[in-house]
Amino acid sequence: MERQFKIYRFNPEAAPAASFQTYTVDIQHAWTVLDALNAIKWDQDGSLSFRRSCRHGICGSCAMKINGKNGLACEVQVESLKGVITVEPLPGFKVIRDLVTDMDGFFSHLEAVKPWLIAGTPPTDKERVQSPEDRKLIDGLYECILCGACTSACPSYWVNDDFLGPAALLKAARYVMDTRDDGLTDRLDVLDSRNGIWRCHTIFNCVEACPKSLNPTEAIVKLRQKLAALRI
Amino acid sequence: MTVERGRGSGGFWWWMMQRVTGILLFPVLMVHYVVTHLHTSHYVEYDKIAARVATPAWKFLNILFLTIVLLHGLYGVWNVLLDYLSKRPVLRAVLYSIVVTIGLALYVLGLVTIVPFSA
Repeated sequence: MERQFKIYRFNPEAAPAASFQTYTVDIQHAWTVLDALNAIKWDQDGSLSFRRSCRHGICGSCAMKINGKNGLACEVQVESLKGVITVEPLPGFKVIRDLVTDMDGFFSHLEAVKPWLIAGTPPTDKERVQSPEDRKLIDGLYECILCGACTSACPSYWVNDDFLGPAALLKAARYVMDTRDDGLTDRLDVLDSRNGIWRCHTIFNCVEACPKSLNPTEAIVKLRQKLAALRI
Repeated sequence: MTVERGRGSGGFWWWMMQRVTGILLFPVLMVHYVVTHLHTSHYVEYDKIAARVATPAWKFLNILFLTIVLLHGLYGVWNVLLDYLSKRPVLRAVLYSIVVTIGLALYVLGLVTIVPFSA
């Protein structure tokens, strides 16, 4: 079955303005959008640029805007989409070329929240044991694949790219809620900053955008509760 | 990375104020709405209303209403502005001054309207 793909094209070396280019692809059953993009790149236009790696929805490389909604190209089935399929780079990030965006700011925000275990006690030769109940506290927080779909869907981030964004705050919550971690006060300077958790307006776009069905808004609320408990 | 540092700079207490005033606003607004718009006579008569707002309870309620409306509303406006002003510290300071000045002016205007009524 033939389907049309209207794809965002931008090459700053060739033209200063972006445009859309339409391709017709012979789709096979169960193809994802990534399969179609590969078919275009390999058989029609080798200049089309996009990121991809694992093809199994776990590396987070192929996040893009497909028919107006952020998602992973390797997870979105072509047959689930209607009409001409519009593919654009993730909004909110600077476009480097075609569907490839600059993720430097995204990852610097992630690094700012210290996304590693900050234990209050020195390491021993044994692992830090955690009960199954304590382990459950980070369900829905640790599964983030850092694709950027949530932060890219956040209107607060669109107008202020200094805002940490839902992905970095979800990752912060993953460690703050971990019973082995004692790093909340170390992370306060960033979390409680002008561009930290208070800039979230609970719009919930991040929840809709997450391809792993995580809830960054809820994670931000949990961080606020932790911080409120410290302040009051 | 330009995340501003400084513990306590992010606005926890302002955020809490917005929640508290939001919760308080609902019953106060309901009292105001029911008394002034629903449970009223056919004619709006100055003497009747003046006698009502001159009572200490109504003065307290109206001053409370004025205070929480201005805090909640203007902080909401400021919160929207703040999204756009992260990279503009000078404009942020100017607009902050304007929002605070508007708030104070409206508060004074409200107080000089509410307080002088006497029975």
